[in-house]
Amino acid sequence: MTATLAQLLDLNLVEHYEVLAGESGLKRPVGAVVAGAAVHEISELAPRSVVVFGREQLVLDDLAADLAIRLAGSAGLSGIVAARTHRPVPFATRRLADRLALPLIGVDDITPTGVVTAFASYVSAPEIAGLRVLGDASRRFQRPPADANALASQLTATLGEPVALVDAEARFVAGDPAVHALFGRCADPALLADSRPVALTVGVDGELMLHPVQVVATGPAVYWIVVRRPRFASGVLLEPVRRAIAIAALSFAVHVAGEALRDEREHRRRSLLLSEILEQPGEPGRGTVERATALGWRLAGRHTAVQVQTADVPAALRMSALGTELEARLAEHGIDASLVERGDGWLFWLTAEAADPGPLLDRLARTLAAVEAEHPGLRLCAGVGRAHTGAAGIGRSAEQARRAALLAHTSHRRAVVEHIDAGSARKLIAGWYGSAPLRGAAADLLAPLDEADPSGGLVRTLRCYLDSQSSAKAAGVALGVHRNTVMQRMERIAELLAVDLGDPDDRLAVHLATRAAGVDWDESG
Amino acid sequence: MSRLRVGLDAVAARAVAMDERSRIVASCRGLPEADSPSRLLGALVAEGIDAAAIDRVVAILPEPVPAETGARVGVLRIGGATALPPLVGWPAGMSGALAGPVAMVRGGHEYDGTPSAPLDLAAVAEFARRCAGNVRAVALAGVHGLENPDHEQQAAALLADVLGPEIPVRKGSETEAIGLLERENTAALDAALAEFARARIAELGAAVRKHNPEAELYLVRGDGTVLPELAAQRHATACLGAARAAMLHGAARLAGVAAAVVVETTGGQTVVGTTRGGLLPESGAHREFGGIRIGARLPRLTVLNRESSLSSAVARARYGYDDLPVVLVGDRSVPDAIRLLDGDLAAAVGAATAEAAGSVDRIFWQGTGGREDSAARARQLARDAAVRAGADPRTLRETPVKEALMTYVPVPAARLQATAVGPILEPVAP
Amino acid sequence: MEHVAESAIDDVVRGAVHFGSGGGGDPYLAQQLLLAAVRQHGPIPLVTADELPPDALVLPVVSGGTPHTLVEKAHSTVEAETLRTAVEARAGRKCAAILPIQLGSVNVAVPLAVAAELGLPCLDLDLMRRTLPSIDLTLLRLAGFSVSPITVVGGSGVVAEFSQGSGAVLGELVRAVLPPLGLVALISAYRVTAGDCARLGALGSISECARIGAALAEDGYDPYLRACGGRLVCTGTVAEVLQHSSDGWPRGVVSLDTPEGFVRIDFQNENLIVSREGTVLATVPDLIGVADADTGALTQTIDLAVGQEVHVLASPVDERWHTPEGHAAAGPRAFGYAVDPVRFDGSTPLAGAR
Repeated sequence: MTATLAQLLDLNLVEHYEVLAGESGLKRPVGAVVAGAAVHEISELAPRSVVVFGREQLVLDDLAADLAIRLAGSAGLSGIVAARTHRPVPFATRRLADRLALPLIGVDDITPTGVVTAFASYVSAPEIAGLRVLGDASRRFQRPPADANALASQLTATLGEPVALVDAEARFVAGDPAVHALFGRCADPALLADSRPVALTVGVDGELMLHPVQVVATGPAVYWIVVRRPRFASGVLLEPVRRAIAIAALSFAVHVAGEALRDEREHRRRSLLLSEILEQPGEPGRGTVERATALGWRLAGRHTAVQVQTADVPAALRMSALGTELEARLAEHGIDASLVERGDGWLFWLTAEAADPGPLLDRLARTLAAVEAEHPGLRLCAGVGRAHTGAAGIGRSAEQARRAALLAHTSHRRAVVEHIDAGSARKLIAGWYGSAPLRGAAADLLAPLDEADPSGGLVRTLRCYLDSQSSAKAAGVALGVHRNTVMQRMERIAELLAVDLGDPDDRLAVHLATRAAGVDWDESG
Repeated sequence: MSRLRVGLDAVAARAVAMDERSRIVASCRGLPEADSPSRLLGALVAEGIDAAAIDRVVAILPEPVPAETGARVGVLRIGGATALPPLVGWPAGMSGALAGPVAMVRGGHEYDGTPSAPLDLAAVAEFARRCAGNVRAVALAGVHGLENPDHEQQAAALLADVLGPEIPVRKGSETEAIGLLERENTAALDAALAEFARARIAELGAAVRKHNPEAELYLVRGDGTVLPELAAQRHATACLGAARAAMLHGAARLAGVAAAVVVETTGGQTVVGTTRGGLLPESGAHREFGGIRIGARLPRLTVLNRESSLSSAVARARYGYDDLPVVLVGDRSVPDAIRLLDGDLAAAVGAATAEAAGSVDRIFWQGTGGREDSAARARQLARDAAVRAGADPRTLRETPVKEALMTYVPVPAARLQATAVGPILEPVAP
Repeated sequence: MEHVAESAIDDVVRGAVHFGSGGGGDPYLAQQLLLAAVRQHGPIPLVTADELPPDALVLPVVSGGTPHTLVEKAHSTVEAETLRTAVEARAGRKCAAILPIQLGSVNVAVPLAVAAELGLPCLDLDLMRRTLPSIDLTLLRLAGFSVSPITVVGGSGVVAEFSQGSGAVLGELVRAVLPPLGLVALISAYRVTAGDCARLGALGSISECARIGAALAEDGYDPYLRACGGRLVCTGTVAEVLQHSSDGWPRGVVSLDTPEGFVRIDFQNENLIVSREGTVLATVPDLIGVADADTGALTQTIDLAVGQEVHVLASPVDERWHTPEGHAAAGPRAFGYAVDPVRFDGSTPLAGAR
């Protein structure tokens, strides 16, 4: 086993180096690293040597560098290392090194003997480098990392490569988003759901290494560590790198076992209890009431249920964390509620004698807006049911809240709160939206717009224009574009759609269709 | 209703109207040398386009013959080489037709902008009196006038006082070029052609505004970018070479590519040029007009006869950008090239879609700020010039600053060249 | 050649560019200066050293400054008169002719123009036989002459004199006074008589420029290469022009992409070394020119543009530079390159002499 110059450089034994030219030769094996005395003595060096010159012996932009490269090329050397200058290396010099595939490495002020000493032991016995990585990992992860960010930064420091932590659904948690993106491009997220997870290497050239974080040794992975494979991690150095990542995973599992499980237990407890209350046909049993009381829930009285729904969630946001934050924000706005995770959102209910939902809607809207403002890309909406009496009333109000939330979802605006009121026109609309065949027809109607502009810009413009009572100016303000742009797009839309927007019936159908577009419908409702 | 821009190639008598998405909505082919630019515009409108929708007309006018169309000019030199008086190297035909009184007065500046000597205002006034009634225009140029245009401005003000507003005054510092002779020659020729340029551009401007009072008129420059109407009246020499430059840009745009090697064949001659990033790579050589060297630089072109090898010329035109497509205008054939069906419209299309650019090319004395400071100043000057030429400051692109150090006397000064280019600022929608 | 008439100007300037070896200033400025001089004063008479009395004092003239400022403010007629007055006052007698110090486009034109302005003939010889960046690098120095006294006349009428000292120091001093003079000055140096010039050997300078310039104007390079005895080194495309300032003159490298591999030209003020992939093909003091392939014109190295197709042409310099003393003064090592001199044809210059 021999080391390559690429491996030696990746070990960061020499800080601040630059591959100036001849990159394709970096995979040549390195037989020895020697300090060069003079350029013309290069021919006497053994093949596969890397020769290191000091500032006095070789200046990289001097024409002696051309001679050095040519001599090194014909002597079968594996590279030239020399002091970097602030001046660029001439094109002729770089291309000569490229053509001969002879790596030309510039290093910051360091003596040739310094470079030779740094490399020497790894050249003669590359496995020593593996021991160094392992030793470093066990030292850094002796104690569990404080959080996911600490894990990522400490592992990056150990391996010299970016690291990302993702959850079992491949969502980004911490570390370098670019690594997460790379994972998304080169691997199937379903890999992570394996019930018996093992360390993996993925990508065309095996550029990513994955390692599960398991709280229970035989259980599923709660997280995965994703590392861009260091270039030196090949041959005898691959296994030590794997082990170093395993040490980090184990250490992080200890951290997760404590906090994360506690959270999860709490959420599960609430969900189970809510299911019991909602699914029980009559009055709840005594045990249920006691557990509800312990959580501060009220089952008697008139209940108004609220369903909060996420419409768009940025990848880095975790639902459990968002729930906790929502609860805190609601309290700030005077709504004292205990949230229960349900579907894509959370349910809670308020128990009061007052029947006027007005203040509640307003506070809800302000709460959602405040939470959205904290998380760019997040869009929330909420539905409010009518007030119903008793434990069974919670279920009825909850169902209305769910439908209202769907309706809110159709508006495609931010922080929308809808309220289902008996006999309101909205109820009619909600029923229409609930019909799958009608929604299918709506989608067909708008299909030409989606084909012409898959980003949805045309549908958005059309919806906004119709919402604004066909005012290009108002639609322009809402969309943040010039009204001429709105007019241009409307011209294009009119060309694309097979309907006459001047006809009231056509216009209504199109308007409804635009509002239903892009909403993920829960067919079980 | 889409807004329209019109490209008028009055050299080949071709005109196109293009919409905002750079699609040709109308075109017309007139008779070269027979149809005036305004008639060409009229013929295009008669193709059935909505004249009121024309926002912008960008024109290429036939190049003037200076000895025939130029007026007599007085030339004033401020400071510098008495061993090399103004106009002395001009061909006899040109100086005979155009040269009026010539004077060299004390003044001018050093390379760092400090005055070499106070401006001799009495001598300037004397020169002005000699010019009065004798010339139709005046040019003046001062030593290191780009570094410090102060003396040029003072002299120009005095000349205007004496000669009155009817006599155009052109200054050397209006041309961004190293070399007093080059700037002086440019100013003298611009002055000589001032009346002619004003008359024919104003006539076209009136024709344009007859169709749409709000429409803007630009002229194509020698690098294929534009000059606003009034600036073009002042700098007739800036538009030399416009037809070929617009053809190079236009051919690429007709082919639907952003950059290209363009091969144009007319008669027995083939010209190979490159358009990249909205600019034509410069050859470094100066443009000559009537045998007189001016400040503008020539684009890098290779002229071939029928027998010459085209592949090496294409390879050179591509140099460093190996995947540039080749676009053909004319009948020469090249493998893997894009052949244009409407190649004769290329210059008109190049005009209609032309961008605006500004350049800087002068010596920067490195003060306390060092090289970065000089480079930043150079870029700013280039951006300012581009905006003055009509560019939208929000969408400017810049070339890297090219630096050449001073030889023979080691001093912390460098010649810096930079260009900024970008789309023309759109008029605010009504 | 007895005089420089208007019809000879283009040839003289073209040939002078040859001796500039990639430097020497703007040929257009030189051509315009000569046109102005000839149109105002008539053809400029040339003389050989033999035609003057041996003890006649001659006025060596060189234009000092950066090419970029010279094109802003070339010399004025007053400077020529001031220079002559200062030199004659010190010598106590009249100058009989102008002596060009070096060959290069500007420094052929300026002495000729000065001769025309002062009404003196110009000697058809010079002291460098090419362009070199310092006033002390002359054949006269190699022959043991002192560079002093040096007279520097600036545009504003300032006169600076350096009456004695070693050549290198005086060269530095002259450059040091140029910035406050506006980076342009008319300079005289050496105390020379017509007899000194005759002993130095008259090989023709202005007439050489005219001869080589005429050959350059012909089609193809063969007439030119025959005229100057040089060879075509390579043809290639300019891939990069790098320049950086150091303590002294800026150092630069031109990279050329040629069919035979990458060629680099190391240059400062002139082209100094041309090499292909580590093999030195030719060095200073021989001449290394770069010609535009389309126009055939020799160009200033600093004006080269990426993508330009060029020919590299090397030709011999005056043999007197190919001595150990000549190499010490103007060989590659004198410019800071750890390379032995190589002749224009690739041979080693001193091999036969030893």
